[in-house]
Amino acid sequence: MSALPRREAPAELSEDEFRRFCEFFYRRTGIQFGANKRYFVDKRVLDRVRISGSFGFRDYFERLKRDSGEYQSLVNAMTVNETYFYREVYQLECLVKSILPELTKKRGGGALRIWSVPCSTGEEPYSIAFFLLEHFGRIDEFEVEIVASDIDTAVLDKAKAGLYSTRALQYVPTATLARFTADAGGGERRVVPALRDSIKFTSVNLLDAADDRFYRGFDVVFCRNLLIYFDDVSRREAAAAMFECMAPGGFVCLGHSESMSRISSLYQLRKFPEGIVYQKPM
Amino acid sequence: MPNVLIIDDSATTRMFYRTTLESAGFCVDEAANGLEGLEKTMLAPFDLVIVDINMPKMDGLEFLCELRRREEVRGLPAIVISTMQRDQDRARAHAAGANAYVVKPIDPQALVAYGRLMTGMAA
Amino acid sequence: MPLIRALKRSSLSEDVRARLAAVRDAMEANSAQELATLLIGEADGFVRETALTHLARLDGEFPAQALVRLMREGDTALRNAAIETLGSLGERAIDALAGVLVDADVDARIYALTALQLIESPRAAEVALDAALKDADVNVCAAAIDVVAESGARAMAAALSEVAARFPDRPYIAFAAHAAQHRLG
Repeated sequence: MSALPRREAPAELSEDEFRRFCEFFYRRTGIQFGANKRYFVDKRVLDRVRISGSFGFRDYFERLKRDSGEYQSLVNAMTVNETYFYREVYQLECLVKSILPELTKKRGGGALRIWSVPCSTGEEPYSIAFFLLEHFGRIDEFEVEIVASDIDTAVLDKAKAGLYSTRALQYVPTATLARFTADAGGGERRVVPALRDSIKFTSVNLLDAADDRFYRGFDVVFCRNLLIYFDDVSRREAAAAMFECMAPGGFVCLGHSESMSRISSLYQLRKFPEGIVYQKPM
Repeated sequence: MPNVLIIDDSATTRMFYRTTLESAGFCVDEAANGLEGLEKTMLAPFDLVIVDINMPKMDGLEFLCELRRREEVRGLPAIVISTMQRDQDRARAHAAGANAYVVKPIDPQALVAYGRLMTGMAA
Repeated sequence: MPLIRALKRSSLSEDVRARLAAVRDAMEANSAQELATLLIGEADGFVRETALTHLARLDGEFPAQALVRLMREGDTALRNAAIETLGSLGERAIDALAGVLVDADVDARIYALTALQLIESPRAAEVALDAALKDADVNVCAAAIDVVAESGARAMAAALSEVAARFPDRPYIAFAAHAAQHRLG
């Protein structure tokens, strides 16, 4: 096996390298790339090969397994990080049509705790709030608490400010926008103060959250596109931390391509019309 | 064409079963552990599941218990193909709901024969 | 008010809490042996995951030894979780696993190779190839071929033909050896 001088790095991956990479990436993140994504994958992977100073794909592939920083950079490069309101809206529908009815079937009232972690710049917790207010018929019977957490305080500040572009809000129905946001000028809208104030934004590392009694008894956890960045052990720890933070019978929603089946054996699989979710056993 | 789900943590084993069964006219899907397999059974109908015992996250015995517990899939025929050869391993698999138990490695002809038998395909 | 009700709803049973406390004490003491002892027969998934992931974080060679013990003595679920955790230990588990490859129990040898495959290391592949060329059991050799396919060097390709030749009446071994050779490039 000859090491390639960096100057002469190839412009594309071989068939075998592409296949090996896709297998590896799928195993770690659940994200699949078909043959039609060949250019997308080749370009980004070879960029990382170059930037990381690796001698070629094989060298880079070995590095990936050891270097969690590089792994995270790779995942960042391969995933579309754009966040917007009502992203993966089928999960919000699942929340309202299946999850909450099941959770509240035997309850006459009381608290419903929902956790959005990581909440990033706030699109997710606000989407949950909008959707619940619009579609959850029994909302007045319960004290719904939405906690939104992130390890990054800069994005939390943005989330608290509640200011968004029309692009981020494009999938929210106009009537909903009119109800919960106000024109802020410059093509932006701001979430109304009452709604901004009702969401608890906190800075926390999921792996440490269970140490704090505040993070207990969650009925629903939205943990989308976080676990894909972790190595195997950290992923299991994160799933166990979430488990500890949840009430028995609570539900967890992961990102579209993610599945508990590659992460943790702690949860029960539940099938609803809107999709598969995982539940902490009663 | 009958739909077969292969659940095994060895990619080579899955590939072997896939190529053998596809050549014999089966439609094949795969999963790398019992939990992923369970998901697949929830999302599409299968005529047969072939399952290993030793797998991460959810082993074959637990998969079978979960399968038999769920009304919509409890009748799905299941063949266990495992390296374990003691009588107690076989008994446990049957107790969990296996319809057949084969010790690895399985020959391609035997795999096809089992497949046809369990899915009612003409030989 | 609502918060306190929520906190009460999430408590574990007395029994499980006691066992979790014992695990946490063992974690504080960084005792791999103690964690392993607590894990044998532990049916609660959460207690088990807490103990296993902590084992994976401990330094030194004791975690690997403890996990090998669980691999051998645990029930199916614990065994498979231990194998997975051994995979996460990486290089430092190789010696302990190599030690199992001379065990009389065929199943134990297969489990060790399953863990070696998860380790994704050239040294794991060397250990496995050695087993594939010598072990009498066909499933042990099949598992060993998978390790070589995962992490082997191109130079190992020729030896894989030798492995296949050892089991001429087993089509799966020929298939696996060929697939591994293709993988090695």
